[in-house]
Amino acid sequence: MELAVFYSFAALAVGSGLFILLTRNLMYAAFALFMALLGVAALFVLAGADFLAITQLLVYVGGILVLLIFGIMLTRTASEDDTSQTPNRVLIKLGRSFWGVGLSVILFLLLLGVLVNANFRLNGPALNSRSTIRTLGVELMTSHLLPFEIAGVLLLVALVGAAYLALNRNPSR
Amino acid sequence: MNLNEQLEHISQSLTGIVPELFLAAFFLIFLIAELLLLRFGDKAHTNRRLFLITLAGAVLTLVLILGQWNSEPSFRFRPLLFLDSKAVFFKILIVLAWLFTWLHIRLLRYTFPPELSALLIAAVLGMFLLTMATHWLTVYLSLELLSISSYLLVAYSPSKKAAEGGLKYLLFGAISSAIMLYGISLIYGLTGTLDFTDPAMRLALATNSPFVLNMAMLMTLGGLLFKLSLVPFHVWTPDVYEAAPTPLVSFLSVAPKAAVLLVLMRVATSWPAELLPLLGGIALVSITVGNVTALWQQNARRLLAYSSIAQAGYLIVGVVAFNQLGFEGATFYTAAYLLLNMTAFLLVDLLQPRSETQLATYAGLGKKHPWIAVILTVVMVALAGLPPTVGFTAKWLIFSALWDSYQQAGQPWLLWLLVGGIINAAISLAYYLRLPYLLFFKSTSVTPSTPIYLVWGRVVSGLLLGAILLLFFKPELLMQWINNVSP
Repeated sequence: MELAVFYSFAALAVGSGLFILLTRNLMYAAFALFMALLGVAALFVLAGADFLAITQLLVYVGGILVLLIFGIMLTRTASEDDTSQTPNRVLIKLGRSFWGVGLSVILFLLLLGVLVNANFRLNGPALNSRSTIRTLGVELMTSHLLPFEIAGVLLLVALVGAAYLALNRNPSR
Repeated sequence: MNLNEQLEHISQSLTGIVPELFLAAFFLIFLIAELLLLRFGDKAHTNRRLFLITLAGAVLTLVLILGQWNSEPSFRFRPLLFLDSKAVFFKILIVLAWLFTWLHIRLLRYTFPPELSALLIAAVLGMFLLTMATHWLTVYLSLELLSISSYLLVAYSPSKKAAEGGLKYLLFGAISSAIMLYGISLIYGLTGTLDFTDPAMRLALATNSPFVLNMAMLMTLGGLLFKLSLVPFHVWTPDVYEAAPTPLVSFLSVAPKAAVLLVLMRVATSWPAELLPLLGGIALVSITVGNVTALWQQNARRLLAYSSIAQAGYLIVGVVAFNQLGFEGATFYTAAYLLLNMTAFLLVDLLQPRSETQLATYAGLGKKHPWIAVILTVVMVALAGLPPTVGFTAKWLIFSALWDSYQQAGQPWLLWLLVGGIINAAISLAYYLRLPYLLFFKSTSVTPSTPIYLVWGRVVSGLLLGAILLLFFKPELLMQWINNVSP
């Protein structure tokens, strides 16, 4: 039963990923990304990482994806005779289709080789608590206090920088 | 560990990372001070005050680090950070690079927005954490802190070129971070730990086939190699060096490399020995690619960018040699490289203040500014690694370490690396001497821009020349320190 659920969600994630790669409409790609992220969130639940799954839904589906769709809608200047089937234009010429595909296939085979040959050792304690939230909360404030604080400073730096760039960049210059 | 012990350990650790806490607080204080001062007072006044605040902060950081000099090597936030005197030494180098950058900015009278000082503080904080990191989580996070600050430092100016350079930097950086995260996740899957000082990691890694091991290590090192601008993560270097203002380029070309090199040393001592041929190959390819491509460059900063790719290759040769002398040599090389490269950028900037640094504009300037041109010649000779300069001493140290290592281990690839490195030092002479050739043997083609603040520029570059020559005749001045820090 669990295996069947796992495979169906994995198929959802991989299938939507392939659709993103092959579709020529940016909007369809964004919606397919929604399905892919949903599939990944479900896989997190199956792996016992409930908090991570919820965060994935909140941050990626709720925040980033909506931002992405808004970005596409606001920056697009559609011409009159465009339909939903018209492919999005790519500004640069796609000249290296043979080498591009060839390199990607080689890279895929290399990574596949690594994963097949690797001697994985996942020796964590067996999962018996029902929720990871308590553990996460305690660990973030004790053993992982420092990374938590570094991440805080990191986000502040990014915020300052983003505000500065957005305020001081005049696109006409 | 129960909760009480953990809390006690945290409060103990907090007293052991005072410089980092100070920098984090300083970053916040600086942002608030900037807001308040800009509200009450005119702009020129504010800029001067903020500069003094930065300077005071940097000096105070230096004092705080020197206070850590004699502290016992021990873990902080076990197993996330490890403070030893090596980390302290590299932190001193980083603060010196920071102060040098400010000297450069003041000498050339750059006007930078105050946000830039805040970003520099954050970058220094990232590098400090990096020098102590012994856990992939802290390595990754501090590397990101450093990266985000550097992207912003490159992209801050409103010109189109800066935007292009910043975007390229960001894209390549994000991709190499992603590769590094993939590698770290593989390593975690293979070993079940992220702490690379843990012997369990080495043992678990050694049970894998060489193919899996090499791929996992190469991907995990991706982010580090990106910061060191080593092949195959070097593509961003020339464009970024061309786009950013010269003082920031000089900071970014040296300080992050010092911090990352220390991480690489720590990784090399605790990972399986298969890492060394991998690093050796990367070093040889980087040295060759950097030196050969530099031959065709038409811009002084692009030329120095390719030179820094090659120099980064030499930097890790000392790590590859993997003996006491090699690590000391690499540390010495870092210090020498810091001195030489930052001096080179300062002098290039003094000759053609705040320019695009096209090589053609340097023709004939040697007769106009003989003092600075002569010092630039010495620096170029030093970067190529010829006596009587500190560059020669540094290259001599790492090559003799490599030779020792070859004689002990007898692996032929060490000899190839040695021969390749020496041949490349000869090739590099061809482009390092191009700038002196232009300065002295070509006649002026363009009207030179008026020099600014040249008196202080002369004094400072004279002092730097003194340091470069002194460290050749008396390298033990620096070696004593380095011997002390490497147990």
